[in-house]
Formats: sequence, structure tokens, C-alpha cells
Amino acid sequence: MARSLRVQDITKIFPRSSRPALDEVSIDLSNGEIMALVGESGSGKTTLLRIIAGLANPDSGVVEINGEVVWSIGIKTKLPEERNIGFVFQDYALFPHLNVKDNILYGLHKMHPKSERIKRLIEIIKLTGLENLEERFPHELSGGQQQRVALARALAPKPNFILLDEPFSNLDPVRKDSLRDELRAIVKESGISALIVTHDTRDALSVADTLAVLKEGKLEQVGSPERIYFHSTSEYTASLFGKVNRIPCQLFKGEGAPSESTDILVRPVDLEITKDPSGDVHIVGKVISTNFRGDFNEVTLECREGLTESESVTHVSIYVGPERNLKLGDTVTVRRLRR
Amino acid sequence: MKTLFKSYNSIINISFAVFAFSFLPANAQEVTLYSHRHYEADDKLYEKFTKATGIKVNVVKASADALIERIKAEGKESPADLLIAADAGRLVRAQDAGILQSATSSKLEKQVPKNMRDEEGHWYGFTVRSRVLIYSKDRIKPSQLSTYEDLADPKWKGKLLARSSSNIYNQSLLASIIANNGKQGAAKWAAAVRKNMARPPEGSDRDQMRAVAAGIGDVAIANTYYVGLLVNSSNPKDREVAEKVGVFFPNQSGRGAHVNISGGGVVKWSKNKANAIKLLEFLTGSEAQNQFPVTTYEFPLEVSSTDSPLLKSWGKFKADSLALSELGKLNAEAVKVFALANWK
Amino acid sequence: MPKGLLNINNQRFSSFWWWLSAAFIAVVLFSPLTVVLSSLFKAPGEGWELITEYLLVDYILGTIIMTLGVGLTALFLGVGSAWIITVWDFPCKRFFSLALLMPMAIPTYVMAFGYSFVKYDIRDPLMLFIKNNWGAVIMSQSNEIFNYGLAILILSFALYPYVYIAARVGFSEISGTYIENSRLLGRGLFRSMFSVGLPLARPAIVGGLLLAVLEVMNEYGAMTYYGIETLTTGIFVSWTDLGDKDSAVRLAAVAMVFVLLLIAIERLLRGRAKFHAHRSSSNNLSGPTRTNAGAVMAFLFCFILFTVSFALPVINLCIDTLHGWEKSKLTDLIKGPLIDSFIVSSIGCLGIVIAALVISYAARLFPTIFMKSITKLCMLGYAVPGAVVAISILVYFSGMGSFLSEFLGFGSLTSLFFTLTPAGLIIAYFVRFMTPALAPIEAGMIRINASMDEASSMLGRSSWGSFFNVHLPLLRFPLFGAMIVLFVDILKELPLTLVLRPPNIETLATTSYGLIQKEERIADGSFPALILVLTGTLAVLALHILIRKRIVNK
Repeated sequence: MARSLRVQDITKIFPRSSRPALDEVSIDLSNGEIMALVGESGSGKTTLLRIIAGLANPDSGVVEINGEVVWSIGIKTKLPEERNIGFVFQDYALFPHLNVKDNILYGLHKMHPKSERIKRLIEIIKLTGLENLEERFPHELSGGQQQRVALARALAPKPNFILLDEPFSNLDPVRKDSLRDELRAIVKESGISALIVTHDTRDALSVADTLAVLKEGKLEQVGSPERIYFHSTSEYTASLFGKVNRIPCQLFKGEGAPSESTDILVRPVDLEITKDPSGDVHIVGKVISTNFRGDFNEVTLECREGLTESESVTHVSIYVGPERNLKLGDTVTVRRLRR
Repeated sequence: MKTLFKSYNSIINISFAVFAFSFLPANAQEVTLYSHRHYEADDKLYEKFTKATGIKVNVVKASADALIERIKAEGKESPADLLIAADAGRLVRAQDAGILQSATSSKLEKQVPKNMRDEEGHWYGFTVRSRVLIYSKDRIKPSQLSTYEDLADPKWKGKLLARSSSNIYNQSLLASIIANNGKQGAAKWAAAVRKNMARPPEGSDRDQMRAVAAGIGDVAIANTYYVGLLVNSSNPKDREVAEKVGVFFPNQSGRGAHVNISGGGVVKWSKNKANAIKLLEFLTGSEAQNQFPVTTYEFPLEVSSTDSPLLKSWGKFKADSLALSELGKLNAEAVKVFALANWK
Repeated sequence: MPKGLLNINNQRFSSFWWWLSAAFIAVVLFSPLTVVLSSLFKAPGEGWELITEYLLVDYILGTIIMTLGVGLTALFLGVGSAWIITVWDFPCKRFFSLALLMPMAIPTYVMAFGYSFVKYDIRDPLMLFIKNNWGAVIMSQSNEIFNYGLAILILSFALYPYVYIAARVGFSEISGTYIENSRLLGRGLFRSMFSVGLPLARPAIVGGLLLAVLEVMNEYGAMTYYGIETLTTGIFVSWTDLGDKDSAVRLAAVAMVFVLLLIAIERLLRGRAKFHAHRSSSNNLSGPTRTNAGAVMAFLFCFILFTVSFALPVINLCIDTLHGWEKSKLTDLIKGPLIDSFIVSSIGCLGIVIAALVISYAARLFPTIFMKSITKLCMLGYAVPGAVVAISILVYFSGMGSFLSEFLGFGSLTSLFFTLTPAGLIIAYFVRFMTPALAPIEAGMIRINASMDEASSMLGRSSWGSFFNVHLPLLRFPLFGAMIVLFVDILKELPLTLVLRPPNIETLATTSYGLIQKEERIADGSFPALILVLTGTLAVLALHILIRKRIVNK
């Protein structure tokens, strides 16, 4: 599959810092793909984005755009203005002295003749749903509208791909869901690949085709949203995306004594209350708290027995429908759902 | 390479020259004055000169010291032909700075008294002014005044007015006192006069005269032509002041009243020396000399030869015959003495 | 400062050009001043001893008294009036909002002349009265005190607008919510402004105050008029009257040290105020006030201030001009200087603004310590008294000319080029007036977010393209403001122009000064002074409109 972007073994060390900001990170972005770079602050995701854009330079590695190496040690590197990459900044960076139309046209100065530019302008405006807003100035637009303008401006010059830096952080939470979907729809329809940096894992899960998880400068895991969510390769990754229970277990191989002790990670959504004693995991616990979460209750169980013979206490979270009336002190048995 | 450089060089020079000289009036016969004097009457005189001789006069006006600096900095590139200053001290300063040259002509030697020019012809005076005592007609009788030296007497305590010592006219006056009474005597004099002042030195000569009229003090030291300016001022207040004060020439039974000149010297690097000399001759000639008392209230070189009623009304006076070059020589000394006397 | 730009590989010549030009400009601007500073390292002439023993202390004392006196008075007048306008509602408020800017149109020496009548009609009779009752000694001292007081007042009248503007800008940037909060917490309007408004506007106010105080240091004409001795008058005295050029330059160096001190104090007073005050839509700092008495007091304050600082001197000038108005030759007197003034001011103003743009953009592209130092260096010229800049230029270029002649074979006409054409004068203006351009432009530049540069870069523009399409349009307001201020400053400029003007070029300022101070032709000299005031007034009006537009746009 054709690759819009290939980044290989990118390393970046900032002076006066104990560990590299990026440590041999490699990712691929295929044509038409939306990838989300996820991680906590300090994980290096924004640094990687800026390196790809050319706004910063790595210490070693290769940056390749559409098959052409734009950064590597020893070659004449390409400046940002030469890389033909779209960038949607966190604060949108719309030019305040230009209206929507001119903002979008800004990147089209190399397109000739003028009629081509206008044609593309109309195309993009339609794509991003900005009709009737062309003459407005940035300060006259809402947050969501501004984001669409920023997107339109980045997409207009038909870049190799676009980069988005925390596109969801400035949005009104009430409208966030629909704005997220809109963003994905627009990008998909444009046919241009996108690399999104975000710390909000829910946004990443719903918008991206592929997720890349960064931890302290290193790439933890790359995969589809489902894979990352249900088959995280580390507790760190798992806990990034949602609540996960860490449950100490003992493995039984057939009959007889347990062979070894281990911890397993189970998401609350994978646990259900049961009276059926079958299944591989059984947990018995006492309700110690319930939290109303709107669509469900998050119930915390305290488990003391039935798992191991040690005296340690484990807290397990489960999600329970509103119809269940669990009171504090109830004893509940829970088993893991098979997937 | 060198030829390339040279032709490049000449192109630069030519274009510079064209540009630079486009700012100058292009005229064959001309003379450029760097003048401290800023009287409109002077411009009229220059016009007369141009009419008579066909030589165009360019004037750059600034304070004498700025002009001296400028000529020094410009060096042989200077377009100045003649430096005109309003005090002999400055002319000597210019001479010492090496920016004047000796220029002689029989006319100049005839028209300018010996003590009013440099003996080697570096500069020539063309107007004369005296530094006199201006007194309140209401409160002072002329018989109470006598000499500059008398001003040091304690009887004048709180009654004298004079301008700052930084002014060259005062410095030249003090220089003449040093020449006459020696450094110690002059130092005592300056200190005593300062103590006698009604207020610390401030303002111009005319301000001192106004203060006399207002009653702040009784006797002021000022140049004669300022009286003329007050008498003929368009401001009625000034004319009132002139009414209230009288002019007294000190030291008449001795060496005479202190006089100074406005004069000019030919600049060392002048490219129009002959024209400069011609202009000097004109300024020291009878036509110009007759004009000065009327237009600028200055004395002509022959102080008693004027017909001007105003100047005549001050009475005939004896002028100190001290060679004015002395004023320049003793200038540095005078400055020190003033500083010691706290005469700011 | 934009962080990201450091990481861009700015090898390309187009970006480097900015750096080179900025460095070149800085060198041209700063090197003449080294003439002044280097004098401190040379052995002093014998005249210096005279000065240090008898005069230096008085010069320094005089300088301190004047800077402190004018500083405090201008602070009071400027902040007070700005605050009243911002907070209170009273009749004719809009008129005063503009009118209080007007004294900026009046050069300080013209202001002194406009008040000449005080010396003769008020002070002298007063002194006479004192003399008759308490004797000559007391009178002498009173005279000195009166002179100081009068000079301080007059300079404050002329200079408080610097503080006024700064305070108004400072207040306008503060969100009204701060004040409202403070009032809700129980502090009245007055106390709220004092404890919340002032500290927040402090950086701006201190900046304006520094400008005013620097002008005091530069002042010559008004000081000599009142017999006050400062370092600057000492420079002239030493250079002009004592013929001691070396000591004059030394005194100039002392003055420069003094100025550096003032700048350092300003930095300190500005504090670690790197905050950006929260800008909200409610910029209206006034709220309901209770008393009418307050409104009356406000009106009176503004009215009196306007009268004494503008109306009175201007009316006086008009009267003086009318005295000699029968002479129609006045128009001949004015035509030449008028044209020359405008040409020189325009060229200077345009050139300086372009240079300032280059410097601030280069500093943005290359935010190194070197660049920051260069920017600061370029601002030094503003502190140097005009006449000293003039001397420096003269000596510097004549030296350069002879150097080029000797070693490279050409350039013998170089020094001539600089002294005979307005070139030397204009370069001197560059040295002296870079700050009024660079300060607002640099401030405006910093306000532009780094992401603007990056966005423009991502959209395919080089540093040139970004400059013309993004930065320049966004700098419109500081640009025009700077041009207006520069135009008026150059027009008013006196000491520097007196020294460096080429043959046959006179400005309105030199004409007016020469006629009034030197020849005491008050009637003739008042006319060009009036024209100066008129042009200044128009410029101030234009500036006001600009500021209003900016406040509205926000």
C-alpha cells in the first residue's frame, strides 16, 4: 500500500534532559489513513509531529514523504514550506487580518491560473461546510467553525497529508462528539491521510483508523482501535484508554493445585454479574461503592477470598446497568465474558 | 584588477560628486560663509556685495563652536571660505585649531585698526561692541559708577546682575581684566562680583537689563548693541525697559571700556581665497561700516565715527586698546577663574 | 518569543538576509556612539579636572533634580488624567480624552518660550516683593527655587502626554472584570484603581515615564532658559563655550551612564510582569459612580491641565506672532524651512520604520542573545543627547573617509557626502530616533503568535512571504503609530539639526530657535513655532484616531 509518510528511528534529545524526547520511533502512514498519536504529556507526540512538519529537527533517523527523503543526516533537508504538508494548529492559527476565504486561499498562491484557485476554494468550502461564512473574519466564528476553517486551509493545497495538533482540546464538550465525527468525515472524503496528535484517548478511538501509543519517547504499541483497547500489550497502554482491573489470579491446569500466580487485566465491561459458576474467572466481592455514570453505574467490589489464599485485598470495578439495584454491602459474583 | 578598481573608484567619486554638489548651488564665482551671525541685515549686505561683485554668497549659520568643529571635521574637503564669529576669543580659538589661514591685503590693513585684527592676518574684525554697565535711572546716578573693578566693592551687595560665565562675552571681559590686573586680581574681582549679584547668573544680556528695569538689581553688565535692540523692539515692554535704563562706559579715566569685535577669518582650505578677502574688504569698507550702527546697533571699527543718533546718545567713549588677540589667549585662564569664583 | 523558529534550518539565504541587514543596521547605528563611550577610556584633558572639581557635582545634582521632579510631576499628571478619563464620566470627556494629548505637539523649548511672560510678569515682581521684605539673599535663593519649580512644571506640561498615552493603553488592556471583582470585594472605585488597576498597568506606565525622563535628559533649550545646569547643558557649555570638546564627550559618556541607570531602574520597576492581563470584552473600567462632585473635580482637573499645558502657550504664541504680522515676508521666511522640514522628516521617518521592521523581524527569525542585544543596542541612541550624536557622526564619517582614502584608494569624497548632503543628518536621525519606531514595532511583533509563522510556513511561504503577507499587515497599527511619532519627533528636533544641517537647509525648528533664542526676534520666531505646533497637532490627532481604531478592533 502506498505510503504518505514514513518515519524511521527518529531520535531527539533535548539538552539538559535525562532521557530522549523520542527514542528510535518509527511509524508509517498509508494513503488515506487516519492515524492518531496518543500519549500523556511529555510522551513526545507533539515533538514527533513538529519533526515531521519540519518545524523541528531530530538528531537521527529518516523522514520520508511520499517516497522522498526530506530529512536525514547528510542530505539537504527540505524546509517546512517545501514539504507540502497541511497543519492544523491547536489554536488554529487563523490569520486574523484575513477572512475565511482569504485564509483558505493563502496556501494556494502557487496555483495558477486564478480560476483554478477559486475552483479549489469552492470545493473545499463545500467539503467543510463553510458556505455563507466566506466573508467572515476569524473572531466572528465559533470554535467549531474556526476548526473547520483551519482544516479547510490545511486541505486546500492538496498536501501530501495533514497533521493535526490536539484538534479537540479547544472544543465545547457538548458538541465534541458531533464535531469529531464531522472531522473524520471531512478528512475521509478529502482522501488525504491525516496524523492526529491527541491526549484524549476517547477521541483517538473514535476518529482514527490506526492508533500509535507513545510512552516517554518510545513507541509502545501500534494497532487498530479495537486491538489497542481490548488487547493492550501493557498495563500502561490499557489504563490509558480506560479503566482496567488488575486481578491477581492463579492458573489452574486441569485438576489439582494451581501452577502459578499471575495478574490479569480485565476491563470492567468484560465482567458481568452471574450466578453461573462456569467460565474461567470467578470473582466474589462485596459492594463498597457505587458511582452514577449516567448510562451505567460503576460499582466497586472488594474481594477478599476466592482468589488466592493471601490476605491481600483487591478492588474490582464493574459496570452495571441502571436496572440493577445494588446496595452497599451486597455480595456479588462476577465472571469474565468471553470474546 | 587594479584598473577595474580605479575606474570603479572614479565612477563612485563622480556619482558622489554629482549627488553631493547637486545640493550646492552651481555657480562659478562664489564664496561660502560659515557664520555665527544671524542678522537679516547681514543677508542684505551680502546681497549688496553680490550685486557689486557678482560673487554669490552661501551662508551656513550655526554657533561658532559648531562651525569650528565642522570645519575641523571636514578638513580639506570643507567648502567653507570664511569663518565669521561674534567674538575675538572664538577667532583666536579657530586660529589655534589651525583652521584659519593668513590673508592680507592693503585695504584690510588700512581699514581695520591694528588691535582689532590678528597681526598675521588670520582674522579681521568688522564690527565693534562694548561691554558696559547698564544702570537703573531711578535708583542710580552715573556718578556712582566708575570702573569694572569698583563692582567688587561691598557697597554693591545684592545689586549686580550678569549672565552666565559660560558666555564668551563675559569670558572676554574677564580676559581683559586678567590682562590688566593679573590672575590673582581678576580672581578676587570675579569672586566679589559674584557675591554682589542679586541672583545667580541666568538669562541673556537683555534679561539682565529687564531685571534692572524690574528692580531686581540696579546695575547689569551687557553689550551695547542689545540696548539698541531693546530701543527698537516691536515689543512695547522692551521699549519701556530701554527707557528705564542708562548706558555707562566704565574705566574712562583709565584704560577705557572693554570692547570686542565681530570678525572673520579665511579658512585654511578655502578654494575661493580671493573672493573671501573681497568680502572681508567689503565688510570693513565704508558702505558696510555705515550700515552696522543703523541695522545691528554695533559700532563701526572707528567707534567715534558713527552718525547714528542712538549710539551717539550714549556718548563718546574711550575704548580699551588692548590687542584683542589677548582675549583669545587668556580665554582658558578666564574660564578657570570663573569656575573658582563660583560664577556659573 | 517564538520557540519553534529556532529549530528551523535557516540556512537559506533569504532568511539570512534579514539577519545580515539587521546586523548591518545595528553596526551603523551603534558605532558612532562608541566614539562617545570610548572617551571614557582615554586620558582626560586638563579641562576635565576643572569640570570635576567645580561643575560636575552641580551638573549631576541638577540632572537628578530635574529628572526626579519632572518624572514625578509627569507621572502624577499623566496617570491622574488617564485614570480620570478611563474611569469617570463627566462633561466634555471625549474632548479631553483627545485634548490632553495635545501638548505633545509643542516642542519643549517652544513651551518655555510660550511661558516667557511668567519670568517677567510674575516672577520678577514676586522676587522684588521678597527682596523688599526679606532681603537680597533670600531673594536670590527664592529665585533659584522658583526657576527650578517653573522649569519642572513646564517640562512636565510638555512631557506628561508620554505617560498619559502609556497609562491609557495600559488601562485599556485590563479587563474590567478585575476592577469589578475588586469593587465586589468591598473596595470603592478609587481604591480599586489604586490597588488593582495601577499595578496591572504598571509596566506600560513605567515605559512611558522612561520616555519622558529621557527627554528631560536631552533637553537643552528650556534648561538654559531658566539657568538650570544639567549634564546636557554642561556638555554644550564645555563644547561650545569652553571649547573643550574632549570634556564635552566625557560628560556625554557620563550622561549615557546615567541613562543606562535609568533604563535599568525601569526594568526593575516593570517587575517580572510577563503576564498578559486577561483581555475580555468588557474593557469598560468605569462603573457607576456615586457623586457629582467627583465629576466636577474631574472636569476641573482636565480643564486646568489642558489650559496650562496647551491652550495658554499656544495662545501666547499666536499673540506674539500677531505682533509682527504686518510683515508679509514672513511667508518667504517660512517657505524654505517648511519644505525642507517636511522632506527631511518624511525620508527619516520612512527609512527608520523600514529599518525597525528589518531588525524586529530578524530578531524574530533568529531569537538569539546576539539579536536581542542588537535590538537593545539600537535603542541606545535615543538616550544620547542630540548634539552628541551629531558630533559623533561628524567625527565618525570624516574618520571613515580618510581611512578609505588612505587604504583603499577611493572615498575621498565620503565625508563630504555626509556633511554636504542631508545624508549625515538622516543617519544621525536613525541613530537618535530608532527607539520610537523599534519599541512599538517590536512590541507588536511579539504579540504575533509563533503559530502564525509556522502556519504560514506550512502553507508554503518563505520568511519573506510570511513577512509581507502576515506580519506586515498585522503590524499596521504600530507601524502607522510609529511613523506619526517619528515624523513629529524629527520635525521638532533641535540640537542635532543645528549642528548637522547641510548648507542652505533650515528646518522649522532651527529657524524658530534661531530667531527667538538667539536674536530675540520673538514675533518672527513664533510663526515657525506655531507651524510646528500645528503639524504636531495634526499628527497627534491622527495618532489618536489610530489608537481608537485599535481599541475598537480589539
